[in-house]
Amino acid sequence: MLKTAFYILAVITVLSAMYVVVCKNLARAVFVFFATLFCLAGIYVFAFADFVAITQIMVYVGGIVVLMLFGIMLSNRQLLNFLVDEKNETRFFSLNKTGAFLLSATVFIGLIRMITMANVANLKWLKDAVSSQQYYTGFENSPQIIGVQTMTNYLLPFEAASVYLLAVLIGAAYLARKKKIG
Amino acid sequence: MLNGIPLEHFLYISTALFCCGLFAVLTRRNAVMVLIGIELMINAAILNFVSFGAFDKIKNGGQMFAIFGIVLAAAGVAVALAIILNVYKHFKTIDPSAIDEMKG
Amino acid sequence: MIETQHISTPLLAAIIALLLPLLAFLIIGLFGRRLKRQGDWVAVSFTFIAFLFSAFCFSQIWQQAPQYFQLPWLNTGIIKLAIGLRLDNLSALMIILVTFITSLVMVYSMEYMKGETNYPRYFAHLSLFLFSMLGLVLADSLLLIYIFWELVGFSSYLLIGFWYNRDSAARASKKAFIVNRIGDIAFFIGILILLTQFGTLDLTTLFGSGNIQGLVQQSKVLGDHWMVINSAGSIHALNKTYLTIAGLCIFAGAAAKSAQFPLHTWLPDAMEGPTSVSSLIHAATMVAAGVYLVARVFPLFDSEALSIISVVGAFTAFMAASIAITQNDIKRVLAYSTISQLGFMITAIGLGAWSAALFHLVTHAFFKCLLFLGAGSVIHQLHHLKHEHHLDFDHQDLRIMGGLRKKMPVTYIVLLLAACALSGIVFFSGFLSKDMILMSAWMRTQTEGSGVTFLIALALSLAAVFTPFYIFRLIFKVFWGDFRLQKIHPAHNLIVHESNNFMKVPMMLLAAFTIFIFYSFNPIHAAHGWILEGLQAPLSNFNKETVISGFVESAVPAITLLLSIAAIFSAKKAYADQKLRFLSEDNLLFQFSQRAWYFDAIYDRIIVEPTVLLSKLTGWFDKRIVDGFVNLWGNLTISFAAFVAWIDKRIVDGFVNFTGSFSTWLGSLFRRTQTGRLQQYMALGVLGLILIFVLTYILH
Repeated sequence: MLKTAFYILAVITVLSAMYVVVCKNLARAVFVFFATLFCLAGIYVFAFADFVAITQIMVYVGGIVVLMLFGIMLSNRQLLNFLVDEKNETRFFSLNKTGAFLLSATVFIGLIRMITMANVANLKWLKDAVSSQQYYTGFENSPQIIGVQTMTNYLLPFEAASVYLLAVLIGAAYLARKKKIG
Repeated sequence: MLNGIPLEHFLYISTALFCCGLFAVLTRRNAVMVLIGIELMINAAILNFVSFGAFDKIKNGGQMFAIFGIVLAAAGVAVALAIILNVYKHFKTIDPSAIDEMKG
Repeated sequence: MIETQHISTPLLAAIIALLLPLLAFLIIGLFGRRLKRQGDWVAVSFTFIAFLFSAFCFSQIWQQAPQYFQLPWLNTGIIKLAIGLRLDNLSALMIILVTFITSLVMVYSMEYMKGETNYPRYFAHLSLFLFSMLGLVLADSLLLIYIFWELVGFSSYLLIGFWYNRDSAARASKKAFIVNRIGDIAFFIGILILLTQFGTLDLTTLFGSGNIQGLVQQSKVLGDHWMVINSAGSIHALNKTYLTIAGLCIFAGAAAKSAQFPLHTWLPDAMEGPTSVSSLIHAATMVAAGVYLVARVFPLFDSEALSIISVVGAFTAFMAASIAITQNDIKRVLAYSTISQLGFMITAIGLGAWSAALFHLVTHAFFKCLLFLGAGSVIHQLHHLKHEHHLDFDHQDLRIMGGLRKKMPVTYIVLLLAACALSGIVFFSGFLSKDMILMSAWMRTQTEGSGVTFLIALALSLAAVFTPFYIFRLIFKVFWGDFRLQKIHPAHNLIVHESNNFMKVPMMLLAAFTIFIFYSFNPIHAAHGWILEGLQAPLSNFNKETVISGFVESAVPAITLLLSIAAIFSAKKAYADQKLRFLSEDNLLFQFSQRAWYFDAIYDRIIVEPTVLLSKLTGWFDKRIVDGFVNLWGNLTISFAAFVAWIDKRIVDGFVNFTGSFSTWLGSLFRRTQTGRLQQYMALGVLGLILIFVLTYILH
């Protein structure tokens, strides 16, 4: 039952992602992307990452996608029209796109091959983690663990991320400000 | 372990997402779509973090960096959108292949 | 050299008199148009003040010791040149004469030149002329004389060409300038010979003063050599021909200025200038400068030079008088008359009658100036008539005049007086001075008895008989008979007026000076008059004193007077009463005279045309041969340069260009990879990544 749910989620994720990249209508693509991210959050749950899944939904689904849609819609109608207009997209399989597809496919095959070759199930540190009971079993309070780790082991990255966010806040506000014409 | 789902399957999904994102980045003529492609690739990376993070309960590095990744991606999107707005204002297009000069 | 640093009062007066016209020239020249009445009052008043100073000078200097003022100027080792003034009888007489006549002419010009576009320029140039003329007569060295000589010539050139937009005036001024140039070069050669021989150009040192001998008198001709102890105290010798050459060169300069044969042709043409200018410069003063110069350097002339001078003078006097008889232009008659009278003076100097020459210069200055002013008065009135009635005629042509006696009585009377003076009628000034010259000539013939002196005397006498004839021809043609212009234009009521007081008063003043009383109380003989007392010939080694005595003293004046009166009566018959005809106009002699002995044609043929031909030839030579050679050389250089340029362009530049274009090609090749397109970069990046993976895979 759980496995079935996982594979359904996996299939939806992959297919919706594929649709996103080929969809000519931006608005539709963004909505499908929304679905992709939502399903991905579900997959995170299967990896016992509850907090990450919630964060994914809140930040991506509630933040980024809304930002993309409403940021564009509300700030610049002309740009929205431009973006939504399908004429501004090129045909699906131009020569350029064939090349890109071949490239992506090569990368995909290469990566799959690497994963199979790597034989991740038999990795030493994973085996150690399993033998030393370090893996998630589904009964852990992951937000608590994350909270403790954030304030102890990962304090420096956390602070760096906060400074980075501040910089981004200022930068984005500066870039998006209404400029005086001329 | 992972509810009986093999680790490789998570990685396969991640790979598929990454390649979708790569394709979008390489082909789309719309900067917003390029941005979505990048997000897809970042999400593929985050999925990898999360998958391996399931085997590290004590330090929890995978999940931690997944969160950092999400934060960085969100910030990146905010800046990228601001840039796209400006680029459109300036060039009246957001085709990355048409924008080949940096000077104003 | 006499160094006198103390400036005496007469010298100061002379300096002021000299500088006033210069000041007037500068003021009018710079501000003329802005001044009231265009500045003529500046010129007139300054000239009059200069006249007063000159008069003071004259009163102090006449029959007194000469005074000098000198400043060192050029000091080149042996040769020391000074500038300074010399005031003696001659220069004092000259400055008072020049300033007096100039004042009168300037007053006259105020009316005569009225309404001219370049009215202030006229007065500026006249002031410049006065300055140069005064400088010329006051200068104490030959160099300074030469400088002012040139300035006088230059101002004369300016004034002849006053109406420079008239072609004939421009040509005349050029002709005057060029002909004078010839004389000036000769004069300068003479100066250089004197400088070589004596080492100084100071007049007093060279020619002495009073009874003191100068270097020229001290020099001796020994054998073939002309020896002197020069100013540096050493003996200097030149070939004796240089003495003659020096004298003749300076005489040539004087001949050009005084319009003596063969350099006389410029003076008739100079009549293109305003009549007042002709009267002042080309009759009374400037042309007399030649005589003045010859008088100054008189001791220099040896017997050869003196005889050449007298021959030239006598020939000129006769020739010009014969030409004057047939001229139809009123001013040309007077111009030839001037040449003729100047010939008298030059002859007198050549004959050693130094004082007679200068005496004639003075009297001639007055009556010739007056003649021109009178002619100017007639011309002026006819010119007005021409403008009033919009007629076209030559207002200087004698043939259209006539019967003006009643309409212009003052002009008529003053012209009559002047004509009498020129003709040498008794009781007039001309009688005194001209007869002195004639007497000297005949006296010389009597004492020497040579053919040349006889010819000289004969030529002078003939000229003296022609003179009353041509001048009374003019008088009768202008003032007697009918007004011929009225006959030509019967439709117009032509009324000629007398000129106004600006013109009348100067003429009347000048007319007074035609009377004998101003020069000598004896109306028949001037030998004891004040003017001749003051003019004593300088000492000369070569001059033979001609003492006039005996038969000549009474016979020559009497015969000349009788002949003159006869000539006047024949002129009256011929031109006033029209009862006598001498020669028809087709007659060869008449033509010869009217065409001025064909001198202009001859000069054109033998000098002007060959010169033009020569310059054309040299021009051709220069253009074809000299330029041709230069051009050939140039072309060769150009060809060589073209060859070098080809090498430079094809081989040197080719290499450089190849390097450049190769780099460009390489750059454009790589440029294609740098499209600025993000996605292409990314694709390439991914491709690279794949390559690395593949390579890693293969290698393991």
